[in-house]
Amino acid sequence: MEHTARTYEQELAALRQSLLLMAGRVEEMIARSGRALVDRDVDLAQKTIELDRVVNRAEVEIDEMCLLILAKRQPTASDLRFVTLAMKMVTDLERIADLAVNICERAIDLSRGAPVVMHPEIPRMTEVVESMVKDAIDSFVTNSSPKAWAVIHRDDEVDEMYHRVFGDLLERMRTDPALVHQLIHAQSVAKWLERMADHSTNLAELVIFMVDGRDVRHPGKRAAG
Amino acid sequence: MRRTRSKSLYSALAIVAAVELLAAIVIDRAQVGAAAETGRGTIRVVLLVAAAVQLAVVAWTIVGASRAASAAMRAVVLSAQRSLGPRVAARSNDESEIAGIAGSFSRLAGELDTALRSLAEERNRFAAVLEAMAPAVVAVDDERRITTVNRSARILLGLADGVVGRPLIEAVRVPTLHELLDRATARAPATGEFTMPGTHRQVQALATPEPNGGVVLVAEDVTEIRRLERIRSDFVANVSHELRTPIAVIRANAETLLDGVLEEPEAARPFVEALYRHADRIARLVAELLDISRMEAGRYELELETVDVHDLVEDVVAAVTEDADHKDITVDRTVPEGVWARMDAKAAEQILFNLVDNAIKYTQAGGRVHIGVNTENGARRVEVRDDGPGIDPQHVARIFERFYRVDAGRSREMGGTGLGLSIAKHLAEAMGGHIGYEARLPRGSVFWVTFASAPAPRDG
Repeated sequence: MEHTARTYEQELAALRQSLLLMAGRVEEMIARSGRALVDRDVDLAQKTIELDRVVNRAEVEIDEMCLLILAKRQPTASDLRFVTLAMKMVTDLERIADLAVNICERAIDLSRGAPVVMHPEIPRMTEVVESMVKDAIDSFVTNSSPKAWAVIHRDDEVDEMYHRVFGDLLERMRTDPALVHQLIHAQSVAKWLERMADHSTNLAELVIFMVDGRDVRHPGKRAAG
Repeated sequence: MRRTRSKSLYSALAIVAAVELLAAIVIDRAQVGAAAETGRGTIRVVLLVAAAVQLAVVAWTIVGASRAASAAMRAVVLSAQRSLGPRVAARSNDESEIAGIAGSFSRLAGELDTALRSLAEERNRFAAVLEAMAPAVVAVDDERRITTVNRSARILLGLADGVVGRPLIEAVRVPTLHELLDRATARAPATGEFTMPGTHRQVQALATPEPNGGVVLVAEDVTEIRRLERIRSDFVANVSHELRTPIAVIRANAETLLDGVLEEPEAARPFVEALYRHADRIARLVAELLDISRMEAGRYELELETVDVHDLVEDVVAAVTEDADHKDITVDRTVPEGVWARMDAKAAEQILFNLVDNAIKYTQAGGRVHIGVNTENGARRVEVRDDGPGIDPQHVARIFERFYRVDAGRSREMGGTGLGLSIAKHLAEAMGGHIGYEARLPRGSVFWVTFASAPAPRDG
């Protein structure tokens, strides 16, 4: 019995380790995609795109680990919340990695033409998104719902930045039509960053559910229902 | 010792069992036999014999155990005497056995205490050395839990207090670091380099496996080393590139001339002019490189004097008027007379010329460049504003580096050597001032340079 309990604990610890390693990989991809874009570094962009395979594999492996634990151990209470949360977290992490790949592909495209016309706020947006993913994962590590709430609130900041960038880029397209092609690329990058922030918010909501046992998704709908 | 005692106990039990079996047989026989009375007598005798044998066996066992115990005690005493030396051994002969044992135990305890204290001292010394080490040290056990960290590790890897005992992955989520651990556990040290998340810190780490399955990580901040390496390799690449272009032109033109164009003076002229232009460019580049190397070595002589910033600005404007007119750019200035500053007039002119010349180069035809001056914190700050395209934030930190170009092709086309701003920075700092850049909103650039302010000269 004791032996079984120890193996179970080890399985949960291994799941936690794999999840954090995958998160670390995704955080690295965001940082690298931002750098590749700013430095017009095709090599870095390509290497980052290759990392996506590692993240995809991690997603499948973690899903399997979760299913095995569910089938063999029938976890309850906080363990059950943790395992189901892990299954959802990998989906958001994998989506974030895909968006980082999109940015890298755009970085490669943009490095071929004239110097990139970039909105000065885009590197700043990248930094905020990076910090959101980091804090969402940190809140998971430390079981801290206040930290997770802070991530959710920072999403508004990113939304505001996105709207500002979008407005500015639109204005520049009007005044300088020759740059439209490049500006559209810049706009896509801003949009993907904004979506990454949304996925980070999902991660933070999942952590709040794990820590407090409280579902904070779709607050409006729940209040209405 | 324990084996001897259990052996005697087993033999005693075996004998007791044999006697009881004998008694049982006798009882059985007695029950079957006719004479019940005789039988009862026999039973009594047998039982008595059995009891006596049992008693003897118990007594024998006790004596045996006691002997074993004293042998054990003697062994303890002997070992204590051996470790404490012959002087104590001679004395213990006079004392009773128990007192001797007690003495030995207390001496052993004393020795143990001394050994523990020296071990603790050793451990504290080791901890102090580890804590004071510049490289970051993190040790993990076979389950990747942190067992030791030093101060540098807490700073470099951003570890919170109380990380000891926690899994490393919870403290540092850097995939490269964990790959390093995987490689190191294959019984050979492994090295790797990574960027700390959320920072630009470049970290190099060495992971060495321990025999118990743990790994010791030693990490160092190599950001500055990598930056200097990059500047050095960029410098070599840039110098070669900057020299190669004019040399190629000179060679091609010389070849053309030698191939016969030399015989037709009219046709030869443009080739010779290009020769002159590119030779001039090389000469300028070499002169600037020499200037820079003299400045970096601190061997650049400056003559500080009190100069009116108004005159400085006017001289520079006069020098750029032709270029500005050519592009239909207005250079206006709000620099009143009598703004005195300490500077080397020639160096200051070189700096300001560079800033204004750049402003004109990067401003579209018909644009405007403005030069202003103000005084803050005892310094004269001269600003050159333009309404050109501005500089993207990612380049700002590097524009004062040698040969750094925001748009390499375009600046070379404009005849720049890539050294202008770098020289301006050296000169400004050599005069005790600063130079910098700010973005101008909604578009354009502001370059500024400061000089120490000075009172008006008496004869002025």
